[in-house]
Amino acid sequence: MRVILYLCIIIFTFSYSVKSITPQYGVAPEELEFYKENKVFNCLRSNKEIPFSQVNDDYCDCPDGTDEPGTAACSNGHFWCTNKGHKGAYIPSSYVNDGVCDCCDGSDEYKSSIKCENKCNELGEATRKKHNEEVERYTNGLKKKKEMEEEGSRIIKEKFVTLETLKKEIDPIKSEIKELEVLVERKRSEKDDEEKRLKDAKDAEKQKDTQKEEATPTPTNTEETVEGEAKVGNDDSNNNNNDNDEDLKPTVEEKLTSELLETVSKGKDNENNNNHNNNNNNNNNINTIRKDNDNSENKSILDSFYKLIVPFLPNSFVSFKDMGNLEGLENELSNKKSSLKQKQDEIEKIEKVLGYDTGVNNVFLPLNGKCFDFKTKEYTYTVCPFDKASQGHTSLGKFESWKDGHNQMVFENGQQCWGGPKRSIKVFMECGSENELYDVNEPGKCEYTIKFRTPAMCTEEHLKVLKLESDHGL
Amino acid sequence: MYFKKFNLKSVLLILVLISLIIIPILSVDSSKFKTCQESHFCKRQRQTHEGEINPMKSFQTFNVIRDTVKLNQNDKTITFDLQEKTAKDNVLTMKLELYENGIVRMRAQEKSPLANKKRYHVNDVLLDSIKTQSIKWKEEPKSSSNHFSFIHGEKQCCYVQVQLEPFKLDVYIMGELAITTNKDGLFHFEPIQEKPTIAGPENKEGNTEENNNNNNNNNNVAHEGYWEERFQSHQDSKPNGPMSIGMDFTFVGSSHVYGIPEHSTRLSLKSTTGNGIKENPYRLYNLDVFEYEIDKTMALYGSVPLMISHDTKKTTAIFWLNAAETFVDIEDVEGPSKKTHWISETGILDVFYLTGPTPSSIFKQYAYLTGTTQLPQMFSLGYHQCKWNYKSEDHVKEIDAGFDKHQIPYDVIWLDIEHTDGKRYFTWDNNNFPTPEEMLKAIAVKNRKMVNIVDPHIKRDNGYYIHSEAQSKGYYIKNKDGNDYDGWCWPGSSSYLDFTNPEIRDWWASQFAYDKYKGSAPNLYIWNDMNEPSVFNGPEVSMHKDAKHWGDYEHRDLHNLYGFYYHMASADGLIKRNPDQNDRPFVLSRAFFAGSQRIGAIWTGDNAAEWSHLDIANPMLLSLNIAGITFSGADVGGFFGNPDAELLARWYQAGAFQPFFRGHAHLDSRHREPWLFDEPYSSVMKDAIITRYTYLPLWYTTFFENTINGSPVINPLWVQYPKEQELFDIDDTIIISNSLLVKPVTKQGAKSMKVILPGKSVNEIWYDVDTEKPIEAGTYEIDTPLEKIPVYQRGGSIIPKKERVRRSSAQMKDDPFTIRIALDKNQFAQGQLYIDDEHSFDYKKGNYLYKQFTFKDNTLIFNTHPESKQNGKFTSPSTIEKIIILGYKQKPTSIVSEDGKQLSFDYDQSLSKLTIRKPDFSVNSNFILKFN
Repeated sequence: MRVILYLCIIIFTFSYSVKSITPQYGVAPEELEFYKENKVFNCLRSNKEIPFSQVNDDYCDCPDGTDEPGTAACSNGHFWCTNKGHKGAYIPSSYVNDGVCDCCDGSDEYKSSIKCENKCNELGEATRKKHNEEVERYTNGLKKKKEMEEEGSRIIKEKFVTLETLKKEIDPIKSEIKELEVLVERKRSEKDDEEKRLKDAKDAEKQKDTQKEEATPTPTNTEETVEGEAKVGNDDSNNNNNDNDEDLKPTVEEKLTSELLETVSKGKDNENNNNHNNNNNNNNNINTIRKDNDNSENKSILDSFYKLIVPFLPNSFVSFKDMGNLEGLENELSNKKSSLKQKQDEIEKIEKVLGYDTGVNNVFLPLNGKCFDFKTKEYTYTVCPFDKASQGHTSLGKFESWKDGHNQMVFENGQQCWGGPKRSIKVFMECGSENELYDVNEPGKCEYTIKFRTPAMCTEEHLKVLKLESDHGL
Repeated sequence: MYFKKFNLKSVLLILVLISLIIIPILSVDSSKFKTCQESHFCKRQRQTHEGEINPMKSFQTFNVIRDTVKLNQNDKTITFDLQEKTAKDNVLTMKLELYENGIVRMRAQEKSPLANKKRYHVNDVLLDSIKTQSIKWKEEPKSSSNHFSFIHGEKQCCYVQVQLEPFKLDVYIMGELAITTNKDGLFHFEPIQEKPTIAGPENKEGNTEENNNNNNNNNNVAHEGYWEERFQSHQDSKPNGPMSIGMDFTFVGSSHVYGIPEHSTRLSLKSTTGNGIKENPYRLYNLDVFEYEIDKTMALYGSVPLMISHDTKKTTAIFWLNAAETFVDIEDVEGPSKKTHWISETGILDVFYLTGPTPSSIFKQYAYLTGTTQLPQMFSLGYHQCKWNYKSEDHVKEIDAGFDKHQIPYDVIWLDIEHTDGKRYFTWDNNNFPTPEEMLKAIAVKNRKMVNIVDPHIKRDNGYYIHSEAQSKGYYIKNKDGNDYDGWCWPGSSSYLDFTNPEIRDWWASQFAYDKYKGSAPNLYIWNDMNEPSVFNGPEVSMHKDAKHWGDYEHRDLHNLYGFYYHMASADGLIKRNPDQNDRPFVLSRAFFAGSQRIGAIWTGDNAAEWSHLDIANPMLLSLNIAGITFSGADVGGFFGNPDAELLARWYQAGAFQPFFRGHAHLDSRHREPWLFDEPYSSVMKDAIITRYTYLPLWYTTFFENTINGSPVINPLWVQYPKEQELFDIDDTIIISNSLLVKPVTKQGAKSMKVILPGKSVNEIWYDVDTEKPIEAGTYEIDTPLEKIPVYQRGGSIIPKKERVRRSSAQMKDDPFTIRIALDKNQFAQGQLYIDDEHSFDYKKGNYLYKQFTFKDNTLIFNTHPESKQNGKFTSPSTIEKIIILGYKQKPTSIVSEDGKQLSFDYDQSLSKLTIRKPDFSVNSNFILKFN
């Protein structure tokens, strides 16, 4: 057959009326019925009728190119490679007799400068192997996907529980803050009054003997104390001057404050939050100080001691002395406030996550809070789904949204690019048996793309298609 | 590519670059480059502007020394001496010659030059084949007369009249004065002199330069910049002192002058002086101009000192053969005439007068002197895909596959500087290109090619074999102190090979051998960039003028030739790498000079993704085409920036009808391969590329015809219709060969556009190639929806096409032709078809087919072209599968071939269109078809 074909080619190349192939050459099995010998041929997809002798005669008659299934005459036509042993496939008509082997059976180069070997068996084998691998990848992926879905549901439950707890905790803290604020306000005005009274008294005294007062320098050690922090110094001198007054006042407020502080700190202890170590320390300090205060006999000694050590203490320790005083209360208030803020932030964070589209059965949720790396020769790319992405230390943006269903995760507003946009990255999601990044690209300046294989993207439907393909085509 | 950023790794280098180079350039633009006022030799010579006196201007009057006039018949020359009137020791000797084809040459230099200093003669630009003709006196020199004249010995093309006192030279064409020389007394010749041994006051003045401009001490001012000169932070030592030359030429009766590329101005050159105009003169000095602006007379990457003058009666030209920095002033004077003033920094006075008198004879004359375009390989007329940078072998694979996936043909994929190992040319970045042979093999399967960049700056790295060898052989250009010139370019510290030396060119060519250029293969071709040369830290981003070349010449003497010689050496390397030396080289160059057309392709450098740059592309390419550089193109899409889909689509439409068709983009630009855009834009780009491929036979035939007659490949309208005055300013429309008129859309959002279809004087008809409808010559407003490329076939022309488009041009080689015949009012048409092996030099031996189609008297004749020198050894398997005749008035009863065979055909009455189905004639033999 082939020999005859070549003979035909040789003969017809000389006579330049090429009719070396059958009218059915290059027709796919499902269209063969339209190419049965007949008087006329109807162009398949355009309203034109031509003599049947003009089918595959190497001249394009049909506007749709269907009269030349086996030649390159029609630019818009296609050629069916039978590819026995592998998969049949269409190639563009322009690939016919162009000196490139495109069909694995070589059927496209029947009148060509090159000879194509039949590689279909070999290729079919390789394709089947690859196909099987893909089926396996999908099968494994689907298994893992189940696990991810389970994890997703577990996480979502946890999140809801945490959210509930946090929300409950918020109200008590809020009311504590309110009470503290009242107290602080009262203390503040009291202190102001006291200062005013003292000042007035001082002024009066000053007027009595201005000269004397001026000649007396302030004690040097007080000034040294001031060195640390101005405010502390002032308080000290105030305390010095007011020692007597304070002694006279074992005030109700002080007691009240202490009690309040105790309850507050107990409340705090109840919290299961390790981040609050610092606050706990403070509470302890306050407790200690309160005891000291009860011991009023030792007060003056303690005072002197305090004055000595204050310059060497870190600022947080300064509140030691002011147990139950304005400053302690203020500290406590700010602690409370930050604790509230923390909880609110936590709530916001969880609500944000809950607000994300995490897919059917929250299958993408297990990816939240995780980061994945991909190393190239130059950089390590990191993607933390639902959060952020980076190239080494350079931010490639924060999670912005999904695009194209769950096919793309878009991160935007990363670090500004020199002479370009803010960096961004699109993460193309694919089915895989593991979660892994691969194949990073920069199609535009500082606009990156990367691929992410995850079981979460695997679907039963696609696996079915794949299996069908192996049953039929391969 | 000036503004290339370094490899991402080299953050430090980037910072250095930013601080040293980029920022000043970004902010200064044109101030980075000299104007006439900032070049002392030009300032000294330039005409005064209206109402202003140039204190620098020194006047010279030259007289012919009467008894030295001699006609030497053996030498076929007339010689005489010239003496400056007020400086009697300034004596020149002048030589006049006539060449075949109606060319007059005038040369002058010192009669007795100093022994230790010499002027540069431009070599290697003129063809060796040019021959002087015998001369006859028309009017012998007599003591009673102040002039003499001479004439061609055999042909009556023209004559030349010389006036003795003061010297003047007039060229007469068809009995009328056409070009005058020194009519305005601007002949200037600064004799080479020894540097004064005692530092005179002028030396000091030279140092303080500009400040003295207003100083009335004319003596000092006049000698300013004689022995040294400064531009910005750069010192020019000028050891040879002043030696500039100048001359005025007036094109009598001329309304338009063209040529002297490369500038970003319109095709018709603008006046730079006179009538209140104060423009900088056109400058010719090859420079790497970052982000060049449109409509500036400032110099760009290349120079062709050829100026063509045209009016309704005649076409003439001046070719000023000088490779030094040159300025040209143009002024409209009474007549109306065009007065031009040429000023060069050094070199001899060497001028060719091309006497035309038609456009086509000008192209013939110029090609006679400098040669025609080397016939491009077919693949190089296909589409080229470039980007700075395709980063890896995988990336190349991806782009290659992208074209196939979207069924877009392309022939060549390009790799910019990042493919190298640290900008060491002839090497590969081993990480990203570990197996270049495999990569090249993979694209060779589809007969595609690759082009790699190879620049002339050599990284000063002792571990780099090119550098170590070049250095040890002493092949580098030297600085003024005699050490290797060291400048900054892509690789950092770099030296520059002295390509003016033939030995060094040979050595360079040998580097392209397959065993030397590791990883290269026969389907790898070359791109020469940065060859002005570009030196980032040099004056005007180029080389110091006092750098030293072979033969003890200074860089200033031959600057404009550097890129030409580099291009030549690279192309030579591509020829010599094959044992049979029978593959035509393809080397694209940015810098060029007269004669570069013989070597390879040229592109218009680093344009920008702006509508104005698309708009100026055709005027610039026309300007190159009429100056011989026909194989030229502009980067599709614009190099800098990001074109939107509409701009890119329109650019593809324009580029598909320009001789060299390459898409390219900057490193920082987004990817813009044609399939990356929304519809309909991507399809419009794809269709434009496909259309290009269908016309490849026309392009190829047209390039072949250039090798015969030097004609432009794309023509301005006035070249084809020289009598139609209203066309002389049109430069947005091109005619490919003499048959296909194209006016691409270059305006954003254009819904319609004015198109001029020329030829009113000859009752031309044009056929819209889309609708196939005839349109009479005239001006029309046409609709320009996005998919429309306004293309018209001239009635009277026959165009060969191949309408089966495949993946690359090589795969279309044996495909059959479609012949499109467009009849004129007399039912006549004629056209040519050239075919060869599409790649080798065998065509030079006559291994080709050059055929002619003539439709006349209801007969189509296909025969060997009368000018063909084909030897009959070449045959093609191609046939003619379809003949389409537009404007055929009436359905024929039969179409019969010589041997009595009846052909089947189809006739469309509404379009007067006749289609002959499958005549299947071989292109090897002749045939005659009778239409009854």
